[in-house]
Amino acid sequence: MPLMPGSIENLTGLRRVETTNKKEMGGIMADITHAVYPHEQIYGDFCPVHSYINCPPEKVFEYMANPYCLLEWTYSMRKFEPISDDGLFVGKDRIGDNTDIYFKVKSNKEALTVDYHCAWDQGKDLWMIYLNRIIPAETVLKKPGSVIFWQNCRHAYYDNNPYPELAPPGRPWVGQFWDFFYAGHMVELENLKTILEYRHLNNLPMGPHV
Amino acid sequence: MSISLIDIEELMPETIIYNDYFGEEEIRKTNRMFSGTDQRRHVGRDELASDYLSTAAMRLIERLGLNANNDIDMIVTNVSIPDEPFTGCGAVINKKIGGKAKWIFDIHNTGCISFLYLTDLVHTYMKAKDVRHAIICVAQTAGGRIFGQVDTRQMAQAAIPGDGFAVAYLTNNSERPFLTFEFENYPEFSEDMVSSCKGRHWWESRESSGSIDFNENKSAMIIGRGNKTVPRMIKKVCDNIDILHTQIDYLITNQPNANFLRNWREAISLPPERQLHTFPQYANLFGAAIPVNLATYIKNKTIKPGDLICMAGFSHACDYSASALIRWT
Repeated sequence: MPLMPGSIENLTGLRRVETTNKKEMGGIMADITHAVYPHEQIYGDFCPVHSYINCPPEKVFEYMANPYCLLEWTYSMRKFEPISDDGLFVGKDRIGDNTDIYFKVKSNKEALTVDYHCAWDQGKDLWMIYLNRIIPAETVLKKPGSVIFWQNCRHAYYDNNPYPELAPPGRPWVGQFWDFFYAGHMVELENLKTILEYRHLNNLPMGPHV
Repeated sequence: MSISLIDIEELMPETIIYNDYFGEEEIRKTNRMFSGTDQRRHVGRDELASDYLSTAAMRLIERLGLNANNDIDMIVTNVSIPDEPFTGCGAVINKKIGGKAKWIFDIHNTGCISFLYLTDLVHTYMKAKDVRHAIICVAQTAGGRIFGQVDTRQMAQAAIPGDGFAVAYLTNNSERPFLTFEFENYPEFSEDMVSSCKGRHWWESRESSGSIDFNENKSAMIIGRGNKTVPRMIKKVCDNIDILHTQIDYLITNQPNANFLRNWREAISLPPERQLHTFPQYANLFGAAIPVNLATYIKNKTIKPGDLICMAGFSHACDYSASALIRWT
């Protein structure tokens, strides 16, 4: 029988139980498993961070989908104002001197996703994208609360500012900090966890209070 | 610390076993847990661990100009598959070297990391009983005894164990002292590696040879345990004397397979040339790996005066773990 176009039978290098038996697969997995992994291998092209938050997913979603929450839990995003009808905001990113940060919040209540599309210096090309997924902890950890996956991808613009003419003179480019992204995002995720758990566990208004 | 490693001698069986001796060639070629070794040695059917250990001890006695009557107070042994089930071989070694050691212990646990446990036992007796000189004898005999049998050698795992022997001479002074030790026991993992005799107990009559049941369903967990435990133990001994693990000149561990050797070296950021092992030629030497490797690399002058050597490892499915530092003065 001729193979279907696009059939996986045409592909070499697939590891499937039909062609790679369990003994061989065991060896492959042992080989891939190291005791330690270089930072570059884990955080080189993608920067995933994640945490458990003792706060219901609906409350976490409502909070994170509100643009003004970023004034509370981010390290350095401050002084926002909306500048268009389609949800574009501009504020200051105080990590850079005199740096404008433009962003939109794109959320999906059903999917419990909240993505922040951002860029420094201009609001036409929001290429710096923070992807967040909220998962009911009941389903994945069998306990109340939420799990948050936050992922960034190393867009090519991190390596080269596409709009250098818009940058304040002498200011370092955001991509120079890529190797600190894991650390910086973990700190901010801890901020988010601290704020949400404090308000939820004490029956306080969830905010943001700005 | 007042326990010094004065000299060490390794002795390997002459019979070299090549890969084609074993069955399940396809599995060994494709499963990387069973690869990385070209040769291993096997003890002969009628050879005894006490033969090898006493011969190695005699070489030390001659090389150091010792008097076996006065200069060996204590003999401790670990033999993976004992010569005799009841008696151990320490007293036999004492007899074969013409010694008069008063304290003799044949220790059957702590397998791959027994060299360090035996050293600690000797150290304790030095402090408590004024033992002045001791020999530590470690023998791995499972290669020939178990995996050289006609029915057992057909298993892929049979290619990995190799036999070897080593004897160390220790004294109660600070001539070349161990700097620090760490020991840990994990009782929860104590039943994860057992002998397997196809439904029979090992002491019952049976038609098939025995083998080792490493419990394949637990292999991922055991790999995880080894990956976490050994680097942690290495870092503990380094912390004990306030050095960074990157200051270790040479790392010597047990050598269960090529993956663990790679992972432990990577975990403490040592380049390959600063890890001393004999896995390609001697395979998994169980408890003999650490003393055989130490003796081998002292003999070939890789280890030089002043080198800081870290010994570390875990036994079985991670029931025991230990680490130590010594400066080769």
